[in-house]
Amino acid sequence: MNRGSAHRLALIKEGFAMVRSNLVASALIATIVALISGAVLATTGQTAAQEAAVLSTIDDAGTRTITIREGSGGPGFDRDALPRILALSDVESAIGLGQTFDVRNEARRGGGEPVPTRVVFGGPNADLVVAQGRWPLPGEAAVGDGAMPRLGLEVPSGSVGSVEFEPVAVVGSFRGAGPFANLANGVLVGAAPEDTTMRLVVVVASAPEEVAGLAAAVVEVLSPDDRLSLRIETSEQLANVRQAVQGELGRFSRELIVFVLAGGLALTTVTVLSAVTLRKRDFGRRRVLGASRSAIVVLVLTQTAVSAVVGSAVGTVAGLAIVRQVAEAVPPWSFVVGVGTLALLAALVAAMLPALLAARRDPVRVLRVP
Amino acid sequence: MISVEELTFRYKRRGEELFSGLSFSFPSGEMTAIVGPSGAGKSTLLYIVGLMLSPTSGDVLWDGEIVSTLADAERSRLRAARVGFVFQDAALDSTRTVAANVAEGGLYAGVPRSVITRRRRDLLDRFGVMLRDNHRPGEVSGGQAQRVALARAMIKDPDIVLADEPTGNLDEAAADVVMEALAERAAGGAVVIVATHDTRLAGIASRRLELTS
Ligand SMILES: Nc1ncnc2c1ncn2[C@@H]1O[C@H](COP(=O)(O)OP(=O)(O)OP(=O)(O)O)[C@@H](O)[C@H]1O
Ligand SMILES: [Mg+2]
Repeated sequence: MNRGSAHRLALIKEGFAMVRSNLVASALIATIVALISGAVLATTGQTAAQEAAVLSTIDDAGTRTITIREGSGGPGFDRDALPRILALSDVESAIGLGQTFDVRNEARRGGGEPVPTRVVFGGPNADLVVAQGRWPLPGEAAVGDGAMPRLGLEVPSGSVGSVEFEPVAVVGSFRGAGPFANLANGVLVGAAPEDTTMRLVVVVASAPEEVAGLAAAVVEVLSPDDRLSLRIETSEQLANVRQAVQGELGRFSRELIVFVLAGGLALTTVTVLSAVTLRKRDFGRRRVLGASRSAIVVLVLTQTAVSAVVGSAVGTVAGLAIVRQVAEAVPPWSFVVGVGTLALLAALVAAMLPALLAARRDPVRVLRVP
Repeated sequence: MISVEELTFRYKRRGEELFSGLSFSFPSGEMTAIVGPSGAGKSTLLYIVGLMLSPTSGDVLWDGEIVSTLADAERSRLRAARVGFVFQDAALDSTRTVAANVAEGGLYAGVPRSVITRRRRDLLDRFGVMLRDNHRPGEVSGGQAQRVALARAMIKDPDIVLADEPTGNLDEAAADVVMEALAERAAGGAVVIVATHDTRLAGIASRRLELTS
């Protein structure tokens, strides 16, 4: 370590020592910062938690889903379209569904409940996941977890079939969420090579705001010539609601944060100002002993920073506890860390002016007044 | 060596003029006593040669170079590196230990910690306050406090020592310790300047600057 940085380190250590020797002022600064971060967290943290919760509910309801089917009597979509849709940008997942029929558990010899079954094109995704076993290959079946009891199955095994259809082997079970929740009440059969036609295509966009553009692109892939006969269900309305919710909650939190921060900033300025004024002889002595103006600023800011870090930590923990109690939810971590950092920065900004004043005071005049 | 040339100083624009074109030199290796009645400007002159106040007109020279016109940061650096200052009222930090107070004398010059620790022991030992190393200034006597302040001034091994009434509040024995230390510093080659009413202290100085009001 060179002499310059050793010197700076010694100054910062001195700043730490000043925290202890000015315990009252340091505790006051820590308290104010704790109140800022605690208040922001306790109030807007609740909002942030609510916002996250509301948004995820809306997302669950399928704001990002595009469902496309043909008008009655159309020829359906060629299965080759599916890989082309998956290749579009902003697609999170896509599956195609083919013809519908009912199946029963083969082991029950024609008895048992009929369960709706669809031919499926494409693989599992984030909302349509394998629960046990594996995803069905062509000519195999997977049973939705809602359909397992209806088929009398404990584990996905055996085979299912019907009067019209050959029995197919059950190789797994699956769960469905969001737009695929209903599928979990039935059976999916992997599309065999001779199944070439999709009746319905379900596409999930990567973000709600991409839905409109993506819907157009999907239509272009499926049926460039004959768009009018398509029935498209998007969730643009839901997406609009989502955006409105986000904007409203966001504006409310921002105003609150600005308000609390401004108040805290003023309080901290006054506290640090009175602290350095009370200790002007202390700073005068330091100046005479050789402290430069910047050394004084470093001392004041270090003292403030140390107090503020303590306060910010305490306030964050307390604020989080309050939010947990009241909202029974935790705001996103980025929000929590952001609030703590913001309170700390606000304290440093607030200390800047008093620090400069302390540094510019005439040491001789200060020392003369006993 | 320190000298002042054609020095004039006013606290306020229209305030009374101090020194009125004073030229004087304070040689290295000698102790100079600034004497004169109260209000004559003894403390003021110390602050000016120590670069804490800037002359209204005239110059302060250190080793032949004009230093009174330097920027504040540069003057602070010079003061930190070279000046040991002894305040009339000791001016210790009452919230810190005696040891921390002495160490502060080397803080702004960046004197390494190990050096500070070693010298602090020597100095406090020599000045007879060793046993009170970890006490707070509130727990030591006025005479002891002044010796702690002296140790703080000496810890950076300054080649300029400025002392404002360093024996003002001391009994004879305590004053002797301080006077000895100052004389020794001068004998070691430093510029030593004391502002004092104390005729004993003024008596051991080899040079004298008499200010009149
Ligand atoms: N900030 C100031 N503004 C105006 N005048 C001041 C200021 N500080 C000191 N003075 C005046 O400057 C003059 C010199 O003061 P100084 O303290 O240097 O005198 P001194 O010789 O050290 O006196 P003493 O022996 O009492 O310590 C005094 O008349 C004092 O009133
Ligand atoms: Mg004086």
